[in-house]
Amino acid sequence: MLASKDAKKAYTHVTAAALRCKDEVMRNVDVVQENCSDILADAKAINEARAAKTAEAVIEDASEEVAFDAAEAVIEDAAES
Amino acid sequence: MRFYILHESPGRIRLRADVKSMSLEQADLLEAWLLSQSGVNQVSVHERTFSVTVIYENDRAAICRMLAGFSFEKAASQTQPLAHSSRAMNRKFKEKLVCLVLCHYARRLFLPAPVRRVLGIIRSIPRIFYALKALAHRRLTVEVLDGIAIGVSLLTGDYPTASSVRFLLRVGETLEEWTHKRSVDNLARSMALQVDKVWRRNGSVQKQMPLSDVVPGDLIVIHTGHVLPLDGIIEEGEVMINQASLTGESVPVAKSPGTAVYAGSVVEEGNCVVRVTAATGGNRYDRIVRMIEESERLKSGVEVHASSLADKLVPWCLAGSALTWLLTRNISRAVSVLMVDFSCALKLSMPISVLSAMSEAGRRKITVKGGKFMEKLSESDTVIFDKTGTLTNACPTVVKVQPFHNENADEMLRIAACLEEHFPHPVANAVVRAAKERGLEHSEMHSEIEYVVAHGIATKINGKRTVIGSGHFVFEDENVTILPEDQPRFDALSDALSWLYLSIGGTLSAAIGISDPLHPEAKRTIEALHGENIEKIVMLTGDNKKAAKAIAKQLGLDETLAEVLPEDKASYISAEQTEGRTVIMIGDGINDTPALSLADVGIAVGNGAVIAREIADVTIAADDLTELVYLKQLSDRLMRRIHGNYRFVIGFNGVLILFGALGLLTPAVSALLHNTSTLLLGLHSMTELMPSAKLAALMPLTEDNDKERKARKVSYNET
Repeated sequence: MLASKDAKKAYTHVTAAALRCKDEVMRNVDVVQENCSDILADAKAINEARAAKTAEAVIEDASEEVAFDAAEAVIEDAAES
Repeated sequence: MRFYILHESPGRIRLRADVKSMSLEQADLLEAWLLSQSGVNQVSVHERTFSVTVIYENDRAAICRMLAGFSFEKAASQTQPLAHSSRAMNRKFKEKLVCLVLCHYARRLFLPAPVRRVLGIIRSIPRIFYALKALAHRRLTVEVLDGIAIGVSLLTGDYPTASSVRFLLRVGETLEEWTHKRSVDNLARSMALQVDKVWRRNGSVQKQMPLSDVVPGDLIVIHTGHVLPLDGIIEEGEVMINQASLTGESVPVAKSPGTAVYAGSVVEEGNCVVRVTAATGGNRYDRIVRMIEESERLKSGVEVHASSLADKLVPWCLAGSALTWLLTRNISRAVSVLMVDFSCALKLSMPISVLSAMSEAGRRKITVKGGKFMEKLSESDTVIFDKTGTLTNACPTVVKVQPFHNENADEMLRIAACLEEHFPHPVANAVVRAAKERGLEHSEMHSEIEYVVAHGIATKINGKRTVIGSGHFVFEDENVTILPEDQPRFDALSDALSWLYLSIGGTLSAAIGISDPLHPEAKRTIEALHGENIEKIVMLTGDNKKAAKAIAKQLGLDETLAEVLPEDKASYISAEQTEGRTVIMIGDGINDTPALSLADVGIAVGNGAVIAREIADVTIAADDLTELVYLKQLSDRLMRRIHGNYRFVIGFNGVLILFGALGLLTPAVSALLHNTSTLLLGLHSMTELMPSAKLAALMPLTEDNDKERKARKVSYNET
């Protein structure tokens, strides 16, 4: 009975089904992995945006440049006079 | 081809290719083609889901246009697909892991308990066997602990614990195998790619051509230090050949015309012309893989450190459970101590950490041939550089010929070239090249040549003894004198060049000044290495002391050894090692190979001799010394992570044990906590060690720019 032609056919189908099942599982693993990386990429983008926003909320130290402008003005004045 | 956009975020797009099926080859082709396009930084293709993720830097529209224009036929003609992709292997291991995990939980859910028990007992037999084997060798290793944990839990009827211990061990082992296979694969691929051009001789013309165009019967020219790319028969030239990759015998053998030579062997000395008998095939890659696997280096294990750490815990674990039993006289509590298996967590997290560090290095084209070298790198306190080709550009040039006592400069260079052309050394090549560039031809005017390794050449011209070589060789060994009227000119020779002295008939006839410019980033690299716990940076060179000292001062080296011979390099390293130092040796030449193999970590940089790359423990493809700093930092971080993991595992599980012994935690809760923490640790170990933001901050280049900008600003303000 267990070694008959019909049984063999049944085994083949079961094996084929198992292989299909495995492929489907692996495909789902890939899908999950892809979605996880999507989430990770978006999360990184959010953090970057936040960091950029914090960076914007700073008034840059421009004392050197102001001093430089002043010095330039003095030199220009001197040249003119 | 049509693509559906599945997801988008700035600089990243994920699409699905509109195809019915995608083979592994097609996925590789798509990935290789996309990577070769401008503006694309990173690509990953999943062949099962037809999904393509592209990380790009230029505008999105261009990427979309480019994707729309893709077709497999077009790509196949434009890009060379990877000859040996690791896609199939990665797929296999991924399947194995997923199957392992799913089967484990499926059995738990669906199989009736008695069947599970029988299966569990059968599956435990090998583990118990390994434990007994280790005990028979009088060793207390992790295998013993694993065996006891599994055996005891079976005896006490705690089947789920036995099964989860087995499960975690198997996951760890699979990951370890994957690590190993992947590193071998990366290494082999980088090596297989490197020898892809050969010199073919046609009549008197030599032409460089791709290896794939060579057909049986062609004559190819092989120079010192190169690997034979194909099987063949020697037509001309006497050579010493190292066939270690075929026979395992590392002593080179002499081959003369008419004898057969095989692909994969290395020409250690001499040049030869080989008539090809078999054209290239897939076997070359396989041969490289086999060679690497056979070399003991890799077999000695990736996670040496982790397992020795875990081994150390074994007696403590056993003592702990004995103590618990003595104090409580409660068997199940004593067993609960054994059940919290430290080794699982360690065995799982270590290979993952090492794997991710190695692939992180691999992304920068650094091949590390085993995890233990990263361990050694992080422990190292001494770095030894070979000068030529490592700290310098490896392409020395003749910049000055200074003749003495009325000799003619060109005539002197001609004689020098005539002698030096027999000597395969970068400096010698420089002399020959200089003569050729000035159109100086010569006929063989000398009698038999006598080499003095790493020193120079001696021969007779018209009956007069003629020597050329280093100052040490010419003035001390050969007692060459300088005529009094030449002394001022001799003293005026610049220190910045390395000098080659030529003498005919016992007096100095000429000095040839050779410049070997330093790598632009050499100084920065050495400064950075000093900041990375390297105490001693040494340069070894065959050059004269004057030139070596000048470089040492310029670079801030701790020590230099001038006028060294190849065997001196190796003995210097072993002297350092006996002093208890961990030594990194960086070199690229054939004569560096003894030193490279002796050092704790031998690193081959750039496009050096193939044999150096084969012997080295780490190869850095980029011709950039700062990669060394990166590698050192990466290994430091890896070791910090491994030690952190170790402490966490001991601390956390120690608490579990304590609570278990006190009876505060039920075994089920403690098993759950243990497994969850192990899993989280594994996930944590997968994260990048050197995130790009940190990397940018660490790379001294940007810092330099910053300083420069500031300096400019200051000077601007002053004006």
